[in-house]
Amino acid sequence: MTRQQHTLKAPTGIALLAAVCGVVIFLPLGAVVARVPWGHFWSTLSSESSTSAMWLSLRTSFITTVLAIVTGLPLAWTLAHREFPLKSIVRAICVLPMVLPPVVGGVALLYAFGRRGVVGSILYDWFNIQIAFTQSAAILAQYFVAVPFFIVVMESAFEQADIRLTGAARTLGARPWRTLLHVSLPSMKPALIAAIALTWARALGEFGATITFAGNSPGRTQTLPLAIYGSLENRDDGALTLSFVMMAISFSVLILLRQRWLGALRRGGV
Amino acid sequence: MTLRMTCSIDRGNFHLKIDLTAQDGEVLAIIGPNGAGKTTTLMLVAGLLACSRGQIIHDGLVFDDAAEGVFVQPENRHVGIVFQDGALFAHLSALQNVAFGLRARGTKKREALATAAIMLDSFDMGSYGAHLPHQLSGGQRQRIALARTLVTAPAILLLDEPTAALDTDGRDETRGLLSHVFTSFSGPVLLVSHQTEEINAMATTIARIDVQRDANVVATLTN
Repeated sequence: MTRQQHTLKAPTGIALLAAVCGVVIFLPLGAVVARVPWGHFWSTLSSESSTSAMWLSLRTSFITTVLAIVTGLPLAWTLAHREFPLKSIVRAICVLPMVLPPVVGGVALLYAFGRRGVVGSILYDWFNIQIAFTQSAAILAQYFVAVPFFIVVMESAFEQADIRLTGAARTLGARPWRTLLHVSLPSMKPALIAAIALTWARALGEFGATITFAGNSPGRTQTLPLAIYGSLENRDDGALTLSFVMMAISFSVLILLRQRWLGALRRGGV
Repeated sequence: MTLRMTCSIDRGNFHLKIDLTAQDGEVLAIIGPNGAGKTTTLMLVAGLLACSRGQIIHDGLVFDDAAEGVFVQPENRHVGIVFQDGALFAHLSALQNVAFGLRARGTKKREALATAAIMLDSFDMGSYGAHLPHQLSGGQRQRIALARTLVTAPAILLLDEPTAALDTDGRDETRGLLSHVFTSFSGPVLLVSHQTEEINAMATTIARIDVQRDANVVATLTN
C-alpha cells in the first residue's frame, strides 16, 4: 500500500459491507479449523475408509485431469482458431456443465452411459461393458463437470496468443503440431497451469454427478467428498478431519496459482 | 527469380488489392498509412493469411491461387519473416531460437545447435547464446530474429517495421546490420517501414498503398 491509495476518500460505509462479505466467507472455514478433533486427527486420517477415499480421489482426479488436457486442449484450439456452423451453440453446450447443477449432470450421464442409457445399453448388450457405478463412472462424472473449466481458460489463452509467434514458427519450417507443442503452449504456460489447477480442483471436489452416476461404494466410487458426506450422516467427526484436508488442498492450489500464475501475469510474461 | 502478387483480400469492409512484382536482389519498400494493409501484404506472402481472389507466384511455384484451391503451407514456402519486436520465443535461449528452424526442418539437435552457434558468431552475438530474449536489448533481439530467419536460408525475406520498436542506438545497429544482410541476400526483400531515412538508405524500389475511404476501405498496392 502506498500513501497515495489512502489519501483519497473511500465511499462511506464500503469497509463495513466489505467486512460482512469477508466474515461470511471466513467464519465457516474458521469453524471447521476450530472444531477439527486434533486429538485423533491422524488416526481418523489413516483409517482404512479415509485412506481409500483419498487414494481414490487422487487417482481419479489425476486421470480426469490428464483426459481433460489431452481432449480439452484440441477442443479449445478448435473453438479459438476454426470457424464452423453453429459454433457459438457448440461452445455454449461445451461449457454448460459449469453452470449446470452437478446432480443434473449425473442424471444426464446415467441416461447416456447407464445400463439402459442411449450408449450404455449398446455397450452392455453388445460388449457386456457396464460403466455406471464403476470407477470409470466416477472419472467420467469428474470429467463432465471439470473439463469446461479447462476449455474456457485455454480457449481464451489461444485467442489472446500472439499470432506473430506461431507465424514465425510456421515460416521457420515448423509443422502445426510442432508449433502448438513447442511455441504456443510454452508461451501460454501461466494459463495452462491455471487451467490444469482449476480442472483438477473441480474434479477433486466433484460430488453431485459422482453420487448420481457412480454411486457411493467405499473403495470403488466413494471419493473424498462422498466420504465426507457419509461420515456426516453417521454423525462421526471424520467429516471435519476430511473437510479440513480438502480445504488445505484447495488453499494450497490457490497459493500455488498466486505464486506461479498470477505472479507471472503481473510480471507480464512467462 | 520473381515474386508476383496479383491478388486481393477482404476482411469485413476492408478490401486490399495488390498488384506487385519483386525481383531477386530488389529491396522493395512498402509504404502507406497505418491500417492500409502493409503487414497484411507480408502475411499473404508468408502464407499466414490466404488471398480471397487472385494468385501469388514465386519462381514459377504457385503459393496461393484462390480459384484453383491451391495454398502452400507457410513451412513449405521458404519465406523468412522478421517482425517489429523480433517475436522471439521467450522460453528459448538465443541459441535455441536460432536453432529452432533447423530443428523444425529435421536437422539433428547437435548439428542444429552447432550451425546456430556459427550463425550467432557471424551476427556478433556469439557470447549471448545462453541469454533468454528478455535479457537482451532491443537491437540484440533483432539480431537474433534476423539470424533465426536467415539460418533457414529463405528464398524471400520479409521485414515488418524491423526498427520501429527500437531506440536510436538499436535502430542504427539494426540498419547497419540490414544493409550488410542485403548485400549477400540473393532473393527479393519486402520491407515495410514508416521511416523515410530508412527507406531512402535501403530500398531499391518503393510501392505505395493508396487508401480510399467511403462505406468501404479500399486499399490498392501497386508497383
